Amino acid sequence: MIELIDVSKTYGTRKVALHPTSVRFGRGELVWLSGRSGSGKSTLLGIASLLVLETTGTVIVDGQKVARDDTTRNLVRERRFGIVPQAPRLFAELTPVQNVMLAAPSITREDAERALGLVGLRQRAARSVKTMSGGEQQRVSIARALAKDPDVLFADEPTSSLDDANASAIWGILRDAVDSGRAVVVASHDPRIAGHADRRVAIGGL
Amino acid sequence: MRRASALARWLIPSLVRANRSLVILSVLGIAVFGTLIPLASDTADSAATTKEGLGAAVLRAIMISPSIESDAPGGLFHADDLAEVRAVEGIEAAVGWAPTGIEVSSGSTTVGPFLTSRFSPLQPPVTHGREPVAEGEILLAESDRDELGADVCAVLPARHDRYVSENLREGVAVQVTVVGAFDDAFAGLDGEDVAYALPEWVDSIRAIGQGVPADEIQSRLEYLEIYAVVDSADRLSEVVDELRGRGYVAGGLGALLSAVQPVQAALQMAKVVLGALLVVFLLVVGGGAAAALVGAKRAEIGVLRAFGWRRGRVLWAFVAQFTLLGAVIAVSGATLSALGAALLALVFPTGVFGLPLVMGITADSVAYFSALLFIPPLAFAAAAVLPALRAASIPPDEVLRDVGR
Repeated sequence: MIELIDVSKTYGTRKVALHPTSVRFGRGELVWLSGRSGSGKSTLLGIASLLVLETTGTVIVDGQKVARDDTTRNLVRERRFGIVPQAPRLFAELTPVQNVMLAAPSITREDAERALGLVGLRQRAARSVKTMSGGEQQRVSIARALAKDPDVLFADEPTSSLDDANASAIWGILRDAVDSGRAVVVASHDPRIAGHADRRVAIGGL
Repeated sequence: MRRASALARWLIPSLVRANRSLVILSVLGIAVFGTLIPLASDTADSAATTKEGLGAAVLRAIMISPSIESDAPGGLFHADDLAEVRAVEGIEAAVGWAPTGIEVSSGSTTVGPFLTSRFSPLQPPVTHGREPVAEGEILLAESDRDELGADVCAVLPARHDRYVSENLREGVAVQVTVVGAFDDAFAGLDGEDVAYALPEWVDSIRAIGQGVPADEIQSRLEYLEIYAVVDSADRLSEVVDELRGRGYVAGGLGALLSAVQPVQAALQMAKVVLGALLVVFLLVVGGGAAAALVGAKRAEIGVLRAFGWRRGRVLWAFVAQFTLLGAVIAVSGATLSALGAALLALVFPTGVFGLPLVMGITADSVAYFSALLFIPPLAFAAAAVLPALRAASIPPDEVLRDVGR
């Protein structure tokens, strides 16, 4: 579904964030991008999710080479990808439903409530985000990414600040997303993912 | 843009809460500006131009002098001329003007003003007491009243001339009641050092001084000028033309009111300057609040960008948000301003500082109120553009924790 061929990223003329790397992500698998800090796993996640423009190499989505212009990449991201950042970064002034609805213009209130139902927060859909725990906010963040029914879900350290119970809940939700036919790509150095990932891609070696 | 507009709408309550002090200050600024400036300006305009205003009578006044072809003896006016002027269509009131001497005493102090017919539209207003309504009642200048130490309603001895022969006059003792006083800092048409009384009484004193028998006052008593007031400023030139057609030398006195236009111009200028200050204030407040919001929401904006929000959508979300905030402030300020004006009218039903309060629905007031409603949203929108451009330029990879930038 997504194929990265010899993609690399260099900032300026010297700062190499990612050496040339090739990798494929397919439907129905949860891929764990691992590596030491600074190894480039977030950069690889960024290139795969079209957030970061690769310096060299090619990104192919469903057999089509993705152009390098912002408009095309915005469109692909908006229609095909869901993104879960490390911190939920929700608008604290809004309700979970409103936060979820911001992910795409096509998401209706019903869609948002359904997505919140997938992460077990339907009953709290209209309450203030401010009153939610970190784990609950992260679940809202996943609901926000799932609401537009993306083909691929990208998550950057989604459990790094969560306790075991919350982390386990998150892995369960991501697993469900995989089981419903999506590709899920997670960049993480959290060893608790090991039992949930279908495949591990170690950036910079194990 | 639908979602961007929704975000703007959703964030308004928290934006108002976060900037509570500045919002309150802006609302009060608009309310005060909206109430006081038009009130002062319109009241001054009204005072200068409307029939009920202070300057109104002067703007509607005509000074009539005898024509050199006049058949009046000595080129002066008589009672029949006055009657003819009063009968001209459009003339609201007219009075024959000619002063005579009078001496008023109190203890060892005596003042000697020129006694003149009272024609209140064109003479200084009463500052103490009331207008004379009967023979023997006079209005003194404040300075004369102070010199005499006379209270309002004081009955004082006075003297005026009686004709004895062509070259001889003798004094006649009478009593006058000081019914009021006027501020003689306003030197009017009558010149300085005057006192006022009923025209009929002034005429009778003049007749005695000139040796005109009471039954011949109508035919023999002379006036130097006639002052008249037209019922509408719009008819002034028409009435002047009519009087000129009858052989009188007539001219409007409005030109004498040289202070009105500079005062009106100054008020207009004050309105513009204060309006500009208000706009600058709104720009600073709006710009500051927008910059603070963008700084605080950088991470959230990064997420939106990562979800595919284009720059234009982010820009619109923030500009729309501050336009809405401006609208909230404008509506609150304008409502408060209307309430303030109504309260002023209630507390000061007869006016402030002698000026009648003028508040009504006119084309000007509607235009002013519309400007009051539109300027804050526009100012806030303009103020939000730069911070919103900064927000729109946040890259989508901002959402990633560390990409080695």
